[in-house]
Amino acid sequence: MIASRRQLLVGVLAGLAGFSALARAARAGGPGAVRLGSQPASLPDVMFSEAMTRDRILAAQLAAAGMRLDEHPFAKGREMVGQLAARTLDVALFGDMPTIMATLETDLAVVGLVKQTFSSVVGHHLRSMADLKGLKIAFAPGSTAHYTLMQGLHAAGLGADDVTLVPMEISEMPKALAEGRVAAFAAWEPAPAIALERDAKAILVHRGLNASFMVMRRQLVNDQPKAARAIAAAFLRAVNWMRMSGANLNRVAGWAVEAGLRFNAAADSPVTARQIAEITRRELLEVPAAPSIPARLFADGQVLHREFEFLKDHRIVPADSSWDRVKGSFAPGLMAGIIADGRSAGIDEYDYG
Amino acid sequence: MVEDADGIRLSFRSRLILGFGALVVLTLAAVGAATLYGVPLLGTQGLVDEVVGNELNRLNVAADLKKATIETWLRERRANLLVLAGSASLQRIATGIGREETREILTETVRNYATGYDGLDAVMVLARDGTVLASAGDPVSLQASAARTALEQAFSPGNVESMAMVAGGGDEPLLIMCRQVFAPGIGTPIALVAATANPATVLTPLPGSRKWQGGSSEAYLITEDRLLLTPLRAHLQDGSTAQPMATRIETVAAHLAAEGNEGAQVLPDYRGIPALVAYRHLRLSPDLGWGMVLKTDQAEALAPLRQGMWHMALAGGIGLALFLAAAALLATAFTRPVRQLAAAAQRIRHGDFSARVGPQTLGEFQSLAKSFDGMAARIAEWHGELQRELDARTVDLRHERDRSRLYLDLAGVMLTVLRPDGSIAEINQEGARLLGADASRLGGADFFGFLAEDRREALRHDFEGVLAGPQGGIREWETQLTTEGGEHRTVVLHWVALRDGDGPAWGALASALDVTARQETQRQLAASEARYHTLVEALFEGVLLFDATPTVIACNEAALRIFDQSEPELIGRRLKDSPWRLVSDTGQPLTVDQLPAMTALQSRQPVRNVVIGIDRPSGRRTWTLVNAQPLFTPDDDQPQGVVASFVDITDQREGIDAQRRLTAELKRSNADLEQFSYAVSHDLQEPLRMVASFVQLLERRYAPIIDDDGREMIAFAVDGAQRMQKMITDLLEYSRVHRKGEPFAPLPVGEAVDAALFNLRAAIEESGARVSVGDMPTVTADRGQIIRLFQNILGNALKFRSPDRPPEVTVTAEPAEAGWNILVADNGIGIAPSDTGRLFGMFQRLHPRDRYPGSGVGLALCRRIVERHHGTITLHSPGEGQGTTIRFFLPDNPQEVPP
Repeated sequence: MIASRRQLLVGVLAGLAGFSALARAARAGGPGAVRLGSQPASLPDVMFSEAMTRDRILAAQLAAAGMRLDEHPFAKGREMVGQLAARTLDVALFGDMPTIMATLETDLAVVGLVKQTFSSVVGHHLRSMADLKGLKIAFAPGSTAHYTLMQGLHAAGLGADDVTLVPMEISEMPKALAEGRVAAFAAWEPAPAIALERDAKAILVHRGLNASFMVMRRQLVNDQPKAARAIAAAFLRAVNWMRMSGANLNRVAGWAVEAGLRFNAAADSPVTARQIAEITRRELLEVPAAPSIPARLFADGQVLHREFEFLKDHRIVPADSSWDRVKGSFAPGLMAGIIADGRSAGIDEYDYG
Repeated sequence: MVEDADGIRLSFRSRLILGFGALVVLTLAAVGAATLYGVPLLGTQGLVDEVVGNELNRLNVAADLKKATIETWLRERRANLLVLAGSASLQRIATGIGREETREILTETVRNYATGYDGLDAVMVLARDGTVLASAGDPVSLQASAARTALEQAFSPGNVESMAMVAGGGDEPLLIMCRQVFAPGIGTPIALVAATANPATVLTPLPGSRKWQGGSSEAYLITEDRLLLTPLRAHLQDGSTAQPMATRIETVAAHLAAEGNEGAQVLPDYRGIPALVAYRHLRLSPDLGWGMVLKTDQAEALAPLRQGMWHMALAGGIGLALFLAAAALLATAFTRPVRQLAAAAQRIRHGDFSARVGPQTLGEFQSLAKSFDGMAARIAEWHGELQRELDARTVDLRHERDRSRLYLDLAGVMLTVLRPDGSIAEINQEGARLLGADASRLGGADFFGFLAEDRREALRHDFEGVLAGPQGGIREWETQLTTEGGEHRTVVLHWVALRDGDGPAWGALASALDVTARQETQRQLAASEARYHTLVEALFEGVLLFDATPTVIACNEAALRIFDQSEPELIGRRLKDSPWRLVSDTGQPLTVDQLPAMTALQSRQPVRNVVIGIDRPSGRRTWTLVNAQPLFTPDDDQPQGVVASFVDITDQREGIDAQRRLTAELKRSNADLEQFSYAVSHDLQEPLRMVASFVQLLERRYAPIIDDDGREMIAFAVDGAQRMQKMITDLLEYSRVHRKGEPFAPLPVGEAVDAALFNLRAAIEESGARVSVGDMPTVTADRGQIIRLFQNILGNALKFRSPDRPPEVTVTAEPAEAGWNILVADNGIGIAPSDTGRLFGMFQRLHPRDRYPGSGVGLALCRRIVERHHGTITLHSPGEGQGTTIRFFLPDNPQEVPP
């Protein structure tokens, strides 16, 4: 009962936080604000938003353009899709599935690769995905983890009808698994790490590669090119700064913990700064060439195209959605230009405070 | 084994041994299956699942370890490149300011780098223009065009660190890791540090991290396009050898790994053999990834388990054999008394009631043996009693069977018991007679073979339906059968299924009644009825058939026509409800009781020729002549109905009425005429006699003064008066035939002939005539008139005699219907045939008076006399000079017609 009340309270607070973010986004929707959507509960995405909001160089570059950066936290990337469409957000960091859905609804530019990492299926007493037949599995509908789960079931010769899918918040999944309310869940980090850390019976049975992107409204890129370039440069700067030293990485991880607590004050701290730093190192910093978007990623028949077809097959996006529209939203040139001329973009100068 | 009448059966001992054996086998099998595969309902896991699960876990651990090792190796190599790219000597050389000694230092550094880390094939430093500033190891692989292209791309702006997979100079897979070299204050790279490695080299040290079982375990790497990077240990499923960078692996695990999935499952490997597989994805860079697959054959993983199971099975088999042997010994010992009991029981079963078990050693079996022997003795007594009873019952049954057989044979119908296939099982004598064969030969014959061919299949189908149908159903058919002699008979066939209780039918009882004669009678009856119906319908006479009420129950067409009614209107109509006004012959209204049909019913006598008038609503009256005949059944004197026939005599009735009116008129006219004739003839006689008398008186008185002419004229006057007197006399006589005739009375005709001959005796003598008279009958007649008739006819025969011969007259009589024909034949002068027609008229003469005197009334008088007696008279003559025959008919009983 206590757990239920806590879950209810967390849900209400999360809803209020999202609603508050929307309200603030609406209030900040003037011409001087660049509105950045962040996910305090998603790693390593939150590292960027926290570093960028503390980037004084970025603030100065935006101020020179008569603008400022406003951050708006969200529980899930999918919540930001509607805000981009409503023009109450200008920049967002989220996974590949929300990216596909957002590009179908709004004229966006996908400018950078935040990470290429795995969503995982974690469960109790499992040897393989085939053991999930007939069991309850928690998932976030329309998310990258949803796609990973269906891929894993398909590989084991199962379908959605062979299991019971239980929609659930990502943050609640480790606890639901530990309490036996579900036999497994599909989620991205840090939920799998939390479950494996805290639940001795938890075992990871399947993982699927996903990506996260930085997206901007096309209007911002076209109308405020300096601001867009400054934000992209700040993203690169943050990567470089965290790559420079473990101290920098740990510092940003601490900011991420604080952001998580701010966003969900009622919940226990789900993950430590050390875990956040480790995840960020493994999934982002040690990956060469990030955050450039490789052309292979959005080529026909490759992973994003397959995910797009998956969304269509499951009616998550309309059946007449165009892959060409998604593909045309990818704009790797902005980030490549900044990298090529990093000196002028100030990506090797750092001032966080 | 035990053999008895039911065949060979397992003995109790054998069953005991086999039962225990089967129980042990089943138990071992169940335990083995549960051990191997678990009990799903209890949620327990079997050894197979456990082994597979453990192996998958081990594979997962190994895969994770391999992946971490590779990632660590790559991370370290990248870090080394980073250090190398950041070395001050390299930056100086790259900017062209380095000295030769610095280049040597760099070369030494590169060499140390290349040799200090396993797995690197070559390390080199390239200037922006492609010049090799320093190198170590074997740089030959980098000479391939694909490698050069990758190196050129590694120089592109912003591509600080890059990795690429290319085919080396020997088409071997080559991983190229590059790091741009920057000089302080210069934004573009001044050089490139590149290192190459073969993925197989990267993977090689890894199997050592795990203890592999057997020879089927292996790991291999693939690109994101599933191109093989490391060699395989076995051939592909199609038998070919996989070539790195040339062969694409299409297994499910390869797809999963290449597309970024990680996990472990039981999947077919590249040979198509089930394997325990762990698959991983390594992200080397955003645009470069590897798939890694580790696998062990499932058969190999389960081999220890299988071997253990074989050992268990062998041990179980030995234990089972020992158990069966012990069970056999124990069963034999324990079942010996039972077998002795069984043997004794078997002997008793075969009729040896003297069989006994004898004494036993074991307490329970000793008691059982005593009881059995006592029971056997008692059974022997019962058997004797039963045998005697059976003999008596057999005799009774035989008698019963004979009586039943007799009853069956006495039955007037065929009775036969048919088997389900339609063959005859039993048949009685009547059946054999009907089939025209001996009963002893009909057993087993196909009954349906005797039935009419055109209905045979339908009857057989019905027969089978009766057998398969519910209990108690009896079917009836009328059909023809053909006897063995070929004679066709019509029979009414019944059959009913024979069952024992509620069981299936074992046969059917069929009966067949020969209705050939009855059918023929019915046919004749129908034909007769049709004839009578046709006859009745063809009658001009209307016919109505009433029942006893009386109500019309049948009629013919003539009746409908006469009554001008339709059949529905007429049928069912009661006599008392007649819509017409019925009147008698005299026109008086008739009541129902006066109608002929009712009269016949009430009087039980026929009613004949009743004239009834039917007054129709139109006012027209139809006259009918009605006859009614009551109808009786042979055993009842009360009439069951009446048949009335009637003829429409309206036309006749109107004709009769007209005739009556004419007859009455004629009678009145004749009476007047007779009265007139009589009056004239009677009243004329007196003046005529007066004229004749006074003329004769005048002659006598004045004879002297009368000359010859006067006398002659007086003679003429007297002759004329006399002839007139004669004519008046004859006319008077003619008129008196009806008016003054005597009543009819029986009259011997011969007497009348004799009387006439007597009256004519003078003429007969004078003419010398010879008259012969035959046998004459007696008739009813007026004696005087019949004498007068013969007298006139015989007188004419004498008068008109031939001058050449004396007259010969013959009088004969011939019987005729209801009377006599009298013939008077002569040999006189005869008459021309053309003159015969007018001889019977009044005052008709054929000859001059001076030759044959007479008044010409004689034959007219004859005809009148004959007609008064309802007879007819004719005259025949072959011709003049050939005689004449007069024939007249006198009825036996003429009705006197009042004048």
